[in-house]
Amino acid sequence: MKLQDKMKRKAECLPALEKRQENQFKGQNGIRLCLANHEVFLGLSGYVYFIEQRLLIVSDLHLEKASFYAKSGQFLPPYDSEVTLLRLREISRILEPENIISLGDSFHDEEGPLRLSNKSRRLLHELVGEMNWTWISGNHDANLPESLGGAFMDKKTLAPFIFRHEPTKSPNSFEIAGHLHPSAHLTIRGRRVRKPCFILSKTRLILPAFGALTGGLDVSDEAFAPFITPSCHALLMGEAKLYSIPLLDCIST
Amino acid sequence: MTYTDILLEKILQPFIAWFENKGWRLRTHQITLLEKARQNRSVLLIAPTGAGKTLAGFLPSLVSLSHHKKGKRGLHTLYISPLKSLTVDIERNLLKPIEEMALPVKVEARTGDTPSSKRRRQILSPPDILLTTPEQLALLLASKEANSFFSDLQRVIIDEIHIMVTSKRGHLLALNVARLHKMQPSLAMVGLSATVSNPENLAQWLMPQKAGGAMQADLVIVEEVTKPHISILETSNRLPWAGHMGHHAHDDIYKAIKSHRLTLVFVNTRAQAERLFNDIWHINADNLAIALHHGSLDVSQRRRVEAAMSSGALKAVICTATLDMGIDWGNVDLVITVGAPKGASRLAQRIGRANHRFDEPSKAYLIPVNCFEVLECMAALDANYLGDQDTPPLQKGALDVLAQHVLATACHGPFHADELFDEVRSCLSYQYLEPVIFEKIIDFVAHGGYALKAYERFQKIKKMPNGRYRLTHPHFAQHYNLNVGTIIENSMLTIRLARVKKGQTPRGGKVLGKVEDYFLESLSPGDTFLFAGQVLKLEAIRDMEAYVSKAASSTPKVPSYLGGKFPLSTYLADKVRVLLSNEEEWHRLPDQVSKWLFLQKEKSFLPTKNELLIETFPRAKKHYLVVYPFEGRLAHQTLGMLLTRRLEHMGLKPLGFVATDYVLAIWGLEDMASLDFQRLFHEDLLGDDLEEWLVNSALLKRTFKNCALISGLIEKNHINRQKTGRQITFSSDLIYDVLREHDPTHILLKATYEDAAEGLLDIRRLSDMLSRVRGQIVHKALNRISPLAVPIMLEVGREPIYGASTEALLEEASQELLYEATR
Repeated sequence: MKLQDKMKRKAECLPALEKRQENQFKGQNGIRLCLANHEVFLGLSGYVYFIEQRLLIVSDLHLEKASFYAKSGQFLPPYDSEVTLLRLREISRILEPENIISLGDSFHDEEGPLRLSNKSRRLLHELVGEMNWTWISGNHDANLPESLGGAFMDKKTLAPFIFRHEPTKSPNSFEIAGHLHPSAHLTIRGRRVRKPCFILSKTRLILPAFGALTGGLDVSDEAFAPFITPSCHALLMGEAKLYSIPLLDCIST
Repeated sequence: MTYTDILLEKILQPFIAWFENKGWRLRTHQITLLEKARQNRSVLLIAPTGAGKTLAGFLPSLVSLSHHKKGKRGLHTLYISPLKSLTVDIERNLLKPIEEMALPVKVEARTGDTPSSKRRRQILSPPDILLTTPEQLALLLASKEANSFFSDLQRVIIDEIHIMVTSKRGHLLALNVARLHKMQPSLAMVGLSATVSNPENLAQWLMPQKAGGAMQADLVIVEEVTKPHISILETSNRLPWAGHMGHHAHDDIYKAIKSHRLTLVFVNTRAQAERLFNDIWHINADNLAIALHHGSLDVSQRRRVEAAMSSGALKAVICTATLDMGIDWGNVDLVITVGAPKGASRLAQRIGRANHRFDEPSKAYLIPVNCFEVLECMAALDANYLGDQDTPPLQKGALDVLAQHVLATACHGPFHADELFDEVRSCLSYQYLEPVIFEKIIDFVAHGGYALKAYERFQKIKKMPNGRYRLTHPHFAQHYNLNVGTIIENSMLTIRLARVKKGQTPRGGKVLGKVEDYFLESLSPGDTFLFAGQVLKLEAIRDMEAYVSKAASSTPKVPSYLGGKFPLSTYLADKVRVLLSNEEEWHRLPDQVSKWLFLQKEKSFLPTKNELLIETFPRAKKHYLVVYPFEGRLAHQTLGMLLTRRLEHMGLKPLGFVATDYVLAIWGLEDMASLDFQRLFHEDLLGDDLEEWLVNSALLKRTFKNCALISGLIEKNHINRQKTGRQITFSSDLIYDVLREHDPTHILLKATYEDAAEGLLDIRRLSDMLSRVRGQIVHKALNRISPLAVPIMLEVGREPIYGASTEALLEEASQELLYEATR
């Protein structure tokens, strides 16, 4: 890419990214930025936190994914739900959110809740009790049992934001979605680096999958095409910080 | 009258007549094998290529079947080869004598390509001789019909056994051979092998081992009667100091092809094959029939080339290791190897392709492509004449393969764990398997074997009240059938020559072959590359298929793709070091090479056999550290990784390194001349540093993925197969992380570490090297680059650069943009 193009792309970058001041919040690594005049923090472990609203967003937990495969004879390690929920509890202890939205595919399948181990069940029950929990339905878990507690919705509007599982082509409000499990790769000096990422554009934020055994889908996949604009950024999850890279660079390398 | 005489007179009469008719005669070792067969002895036959090895293996079966009574009978002889194409070739070669002598013998092949109707028919009415592969044998033994199918089995012939036993395929085969021995205790085994360094090992491998004393098949060794004529091709052009392609020799290669009947030109990588093919056709003024053959090409295209070869329609074939193994091509009268052969045994094997006649010497040219390779070729040449061999040693049987075998056993029918354990321990490769490990494998197959017993309700195999394990559901047998085997391919994309219409997504088109997806993913649509002898343009990648069109230009933009690089064998590396230190030998080298060495001696230093030379010098604002271990690329990459880590800890900020088969170069911004090199190269480099690096390395994760696939933790082919290779890679990394964190003693992690320790010879080589050079490190602080360092310095920029951590690369990518954008 020519420097000129890079400059131009830089000029098109989101104002939000320009204004970022900090890459820490309450000791957590990530990026703090402004989305439609709301202060949010994108955490390195793949969550979004609305600071004023004390609202935590996670997506694609895929709880009980391992046991789903175990049913068909592929015995993936049965620790995924626990790992995912412990990670969530750690974040919630630090941020102390009042509300949480799980953006769909919270369970890998609708029978998932029945297969939870006692320990995972207790963990989830505690978490649901601590916060106002909203389950957005996903393609894997459209009908979760109400016994889980919390509210069940197809999508949730909190103007100027809309929260839903699958991103849509031209949303009316700023859209926050999951579903695609974005990950991006870069080829730098002959070496390939591949990481899960957020995708941020002027009208939309797509979250990476939060679940412990959830793989990523490369942003160059056709599924992403409707959501990619020249000014899109991929925020790659490194070891200690999020790296912001123009998304088109992750597709052309 | 001896038995042999009776044989010759009576039973063998039609055979002798047939042989005489061809102008041949029975060879001594062929007669020996007939006698061994009469005594029902198992045999390991070691003979050079062209000695009639395969026929020797089959002759006893043909003789015995020829006077067999007609009527319903079962499978008599099982032949197993590592290659599908080899079974096709053998079938053709066997059918000839059978037809010409009108023998009442039915021979059939059974491979992955055999149609299912024919497979079913083979089960119901087996041929006398079945030609197959290790994977197909595993499938046959896992089937319900195994007992009746093998009930009449007398002989098992294993071809190219020396190649098979050193891989996981060999472990799979060993386990299944043990099963056959158990089913037929009087089974006669025949192993066919090229010359190896340790034949006793192979002879034991063939037999079931018992607690007291090793069991061994009888050894029959045929000495080579004629030494091959091998020479290093003298070139009129200047030999480059670095490089891989051998451009300087194209005219000479073409001349050699022209003046011989049929030439095989071997190269080491597929990229080299493509390049050479392209270049030779550019100078092919006489329009000679020259073809291309390598593992990425579509099977049908390879078969066409093979057929054209045996029919004599070709003048030359440019090929990679895919043609290495014992296919009898008949008319080859010259073998050229471009690039050093990387191992003396490999060289012997390739040269055996020329003049597949036992008593005529074969002829071969070696074409080294750079100065270091001249040394290597010379060493290989000496070795071939000396009859030295450098085949790798047998390895401990892999645990992931064992897990696959346990499931296969259950697919066949209920089994008793103790009986299976004894059977497995009768394999040479598994004779030291501990009972507790075997139990863990059983648990792993049954329900994953996790410390947290979460999956017992989903178990695949279950212990019944009578103590036997059985499969809990027949669909697990279907899964097994889809996933049998130990060959994990890199995820490959099919290449299609698409019909491209403007404004439409390309579709359809002829299949040209397959290429690793990591190569294609590094290309953007519009990029051009060489494949199947043509310059192609990438149009689009969709659903595991890459659509390409013919490019207008004749020079590809992207020069090469990797694939099939062999590391330099330890044995040859040793010889190269000796040659380097022995000035008296240099007169045998081409002038430019000996001049290069004398220059090095004058400007810097040449190490003796056990010394390790290190040079430091500044160049273009950077400081270089160049090491000359001659231990092969893999070992050097590992060493580079460890040294840069250590230098980083010392605050020296290394920027990167590049490794070849001979040399390792590291560079940074600070002068490294004053380092304590004895300390830097201390053996503790392989202690904590190694472990720390290894557990997080891509290498171990890749090893884990292979183990997970082979052991059946992850299924490559599932009933609803929508997983791409890339997705598997990602999730197997996650599984590895979760397992290491929560179940660190899990059996699959053990399998992975054992694999790494056994399979990654580079680490063992490295540790041997470090202990060898202790106190013998010679450091030269130079003020400019030395002659010996020139080749590797030319590699910088051509090879991927290692060393910088992933994080640093990410940082760089985001920083660079910011910097450029803000200045």
